[in-house]
Amino acid sequence: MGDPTVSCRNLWKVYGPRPERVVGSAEADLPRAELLERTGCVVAVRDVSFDVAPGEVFVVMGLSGSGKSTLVRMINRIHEPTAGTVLIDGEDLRACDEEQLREIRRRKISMVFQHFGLLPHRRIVDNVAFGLEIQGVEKADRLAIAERVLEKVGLAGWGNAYPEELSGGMQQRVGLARALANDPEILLFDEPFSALDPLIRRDMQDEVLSLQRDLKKTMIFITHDLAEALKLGDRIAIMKDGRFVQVGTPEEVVAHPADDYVADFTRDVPRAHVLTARAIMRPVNGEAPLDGPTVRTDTLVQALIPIVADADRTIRVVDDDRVVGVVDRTDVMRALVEEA
Amino acid sequence: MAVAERVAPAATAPPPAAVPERSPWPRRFVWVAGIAALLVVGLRFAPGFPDRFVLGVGSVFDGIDTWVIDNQRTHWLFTGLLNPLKDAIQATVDGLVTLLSRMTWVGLVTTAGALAGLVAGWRMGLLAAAGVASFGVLGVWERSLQTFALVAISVVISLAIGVPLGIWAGRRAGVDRALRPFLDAMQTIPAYSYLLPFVLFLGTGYPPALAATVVFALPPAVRLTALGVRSVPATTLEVATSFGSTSRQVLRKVQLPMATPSIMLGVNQTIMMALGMVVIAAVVAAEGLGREVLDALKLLRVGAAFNAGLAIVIMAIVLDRVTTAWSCRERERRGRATRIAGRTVSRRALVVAAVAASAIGVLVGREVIRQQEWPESLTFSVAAPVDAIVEWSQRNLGDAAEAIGAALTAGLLDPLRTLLTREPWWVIAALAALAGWKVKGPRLAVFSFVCVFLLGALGTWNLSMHTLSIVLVAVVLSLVVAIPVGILASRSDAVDRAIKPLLDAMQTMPAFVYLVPVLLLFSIGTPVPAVIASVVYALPVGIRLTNLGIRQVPATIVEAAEAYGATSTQRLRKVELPLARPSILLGVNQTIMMVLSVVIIGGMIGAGGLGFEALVALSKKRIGQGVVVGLSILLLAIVLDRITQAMGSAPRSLRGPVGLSGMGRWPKLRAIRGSVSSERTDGTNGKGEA
Ligand SMILES: Nc1ncnc2c1ncn2[C@@H]1O[C@H](COP(=O)(O)OP(=O)(O)O)[C@@H](O)[C@H]1O
Ligand SMILES: [Mg+2]
Repeated sequence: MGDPTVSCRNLWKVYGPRPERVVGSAEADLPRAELLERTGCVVAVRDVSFDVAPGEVFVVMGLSGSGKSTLVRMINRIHEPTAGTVLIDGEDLRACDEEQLREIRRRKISMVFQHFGLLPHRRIVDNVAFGLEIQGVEKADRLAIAERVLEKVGLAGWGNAYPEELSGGMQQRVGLARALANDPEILLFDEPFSALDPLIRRDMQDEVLSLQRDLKKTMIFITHDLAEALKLGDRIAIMKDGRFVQVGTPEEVVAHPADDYVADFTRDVPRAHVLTARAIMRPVNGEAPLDGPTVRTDTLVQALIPIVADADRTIRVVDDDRVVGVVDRTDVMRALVEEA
Repeated sequence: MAVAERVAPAATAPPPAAVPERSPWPRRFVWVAGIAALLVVGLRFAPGFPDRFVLGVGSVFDGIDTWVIDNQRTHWLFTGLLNPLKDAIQATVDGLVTLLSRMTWVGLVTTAGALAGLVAGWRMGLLAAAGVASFGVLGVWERSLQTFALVAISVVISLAIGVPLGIWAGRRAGVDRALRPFLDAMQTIPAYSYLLPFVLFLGTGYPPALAATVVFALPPAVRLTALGVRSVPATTLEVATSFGSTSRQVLRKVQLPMATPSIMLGVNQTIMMALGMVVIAAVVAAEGLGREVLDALKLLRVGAAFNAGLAIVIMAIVLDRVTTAWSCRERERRGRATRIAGRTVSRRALVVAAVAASAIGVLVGREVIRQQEWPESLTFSVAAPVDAIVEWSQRNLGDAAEAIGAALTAGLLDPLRTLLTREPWWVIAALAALAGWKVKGPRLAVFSFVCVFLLGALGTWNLSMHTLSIVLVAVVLSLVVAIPVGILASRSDAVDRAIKPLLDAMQTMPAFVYLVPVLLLFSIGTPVPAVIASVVYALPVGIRLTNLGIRQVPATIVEAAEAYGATSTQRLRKVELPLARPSILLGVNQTIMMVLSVVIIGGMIGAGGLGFEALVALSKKRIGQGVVVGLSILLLAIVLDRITQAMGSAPRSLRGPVGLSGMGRWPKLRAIRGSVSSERTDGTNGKGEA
């Protein structure tokens, strides 16, 4: 897969007076209230490490207050980490001076914000062109780029409007366009769709997926909505009290929750939509039928159901024409029943 | 920000210790009885402040004026700094007056109309043109130009200092904290009390007037700019940073544009404050409308005073409306082309048209009409009719007014003054300390006690008690009217709508103007005119803050009360008034400060007390006396302000959503002028994070 685009090691963020002393100390493990009482500090992110590969969508999911926003803001260093390292394309972000940091923010990383963060006094095009303007791109050029990007997010013709004239969903399209206008390598999303209605949220998620197919950006996407995480993420990190409790593919998280906390979350997930043949198949054990239907390892259980219903025998699961396992009706039914 | 505020989770905090429920009456009774007893006991002791504690503060300064006179021509402080400054100010104001006169009356009327029309719409253009013409019609053309020139230059200087300072304070919390006490002091002290030093060092005329006006008008420029910059949401700044903005880019592209409405309000406020100083400027012999008012009043020519006062009011209304409309329009238009008669007209075309109209006006005035001054034949002074009304009303209402005045004097003013002056100083100091303790705690108690002691130590005890008695009477009268009217206005939209324009107009007028009509009826030489004028002057703020406080009670809470079957009165008493308390108490605070400022000015027309003493010191240039009186006014103002301000913030749980605590007196008032302006200044109003 090559070197990771974003690589975080042992990241900590502690708010409060003299935060360094809390990092890695025994006090850091105290309950929140007690730690606050004793040191006046709050640990927002504790000892988090992860890598994000080029073109990967890495989703961080957790309840409100679990430290997601803080974490994502350390990746472009709008929040200074208390400890740990952040490497962007192998470059140590914390070693950068002001100038280098600005350069990275201008060219490499763009962010989409929860409450859109549009500038109310600027027209839509000027909002989209904001990043380019900051870089010093000529007015005519940046407006031309902005118009193009607006078109890409489905807002052609809205350039002269002001943010308050747009609906929430449209405003976030502008937020997305603003981030894309810089043509950054990395996109950060901090709960971008939380404030939107469910239907509009679904549209926006589809929009992100289709953009991702076209543009292959590296994305770090924050959400508190598991369905959103499962839909968008190549990998998902579940965050609790500033810590990653599990990191894995959607399927791994649903099929094998690391602890009760994660299990609690995933309980209501419709498993047929997430699990694939790979997760439920049995080893071959010599009994593999030599003919009949085959399915690929990444076939969703949902799609398996009609196949096992029609064929009243065991079905082969293949990966590159190699049989890697078998499934039958019982396996499918067991997988579905475990949902309850 | 503060960790504790953001994180303390309600669920894990221990519940507060239960407070035993008790009826409030016995305690209140104890308080009243205790205070009464203290007063009675006090009467058995020597009244006032013992001479042996009086510090000779005044004499320390008395040498200064001789030193100034001796060194005026030789010392570097004067030759190198103050005299050139003085000359520069004088020359600038004179120069502007000359320039304005040379534009001729035709030119000025057209220019005012064209400029106001350009920035604020054609209605405002008409208003401005009519306003300028009215100065001529009233026969105070020259005087108006002088006043306008002084105000304009003061405003420019105030903004040139205030806006950058405000930006700095808005971006750095430390600067803001450092500036705050100075701004507070500048806004608490009645301007009158710091005139003397300016006179001493800058002589008389425009220079000291301009300096005093700048001091007075600076705070709103700083405060509203800082407020505007500070209220840019943190998330918006985060956006700018995340795209790699430099600090300057954040300022230029985000903070300043988003603070513009607030800064515009600051400009408006600065102008209004500067206009408020017009009469005070006349006290130090600056030319202008104020001079006309003051001279007329000295000769008891009420009509002439009214005539010039009317011109001040017109100038205030025009400048207020035009700047307000300007900022509203900027906001709506945001650089879009204007449409006239269905066709879009570019901004540049409008500018060209306005400049051309002004130029034509000036040319016509200079070359065709050839007359600088407003023509005599077109004047109509209201002095004579007003004098006729005065005479008529004195004949017909004089007795009634006399009776009211006498009742006020005999029933309230005299007894209270007698009581305050008969009590020994420590009783008064103890009462102030008690009040301070009760509203805030031991620190304010000690502070209040010390301030009252210092009043005595300055040697102005009786004068201060005299002034205090007038202030207290006027405050009570003002609140007795304002609070019920405010409640009424909060209950009925019709009442609210009906009084709004009236309140707007009242708040536009400089304080001194209120004295003039009062003098129609009440005789000069007693405190009564000052009481009446200050009551009227302070009314709008009391009404507005009561109204606003009740209207800001969240609809859901009122709904809940109604769902439980509360009657209208119960709703008012048990829900709305308690929740409106902070706002109403802010109104009390504002009322006191406004009354104090008028009562001090009222010294000129017979209210006596500290105000009169200040006037005497000023006219005789007795620096020691002036400093002592100025300090006394300052002490009185600070004690009254601190105690009533603390009252408003006492029970945290009751603090309402009035997001105005960071602002000084005047912006607060203005922000409350219609909820429009409070929205304008503070987008996050009522949604504070903590
Ligand atoms: N500036 C700050 N000062 C103090 N505590 C903060 C600050 N910002 C966030 N926190 C605390 O850090 C924790 C994580 O916050 P955040 O990253 O915003 O969580 P999330 O985005 O998951 O809701 C929360 O408990 C929050 O109270
Ligand atoms: Mg968050």
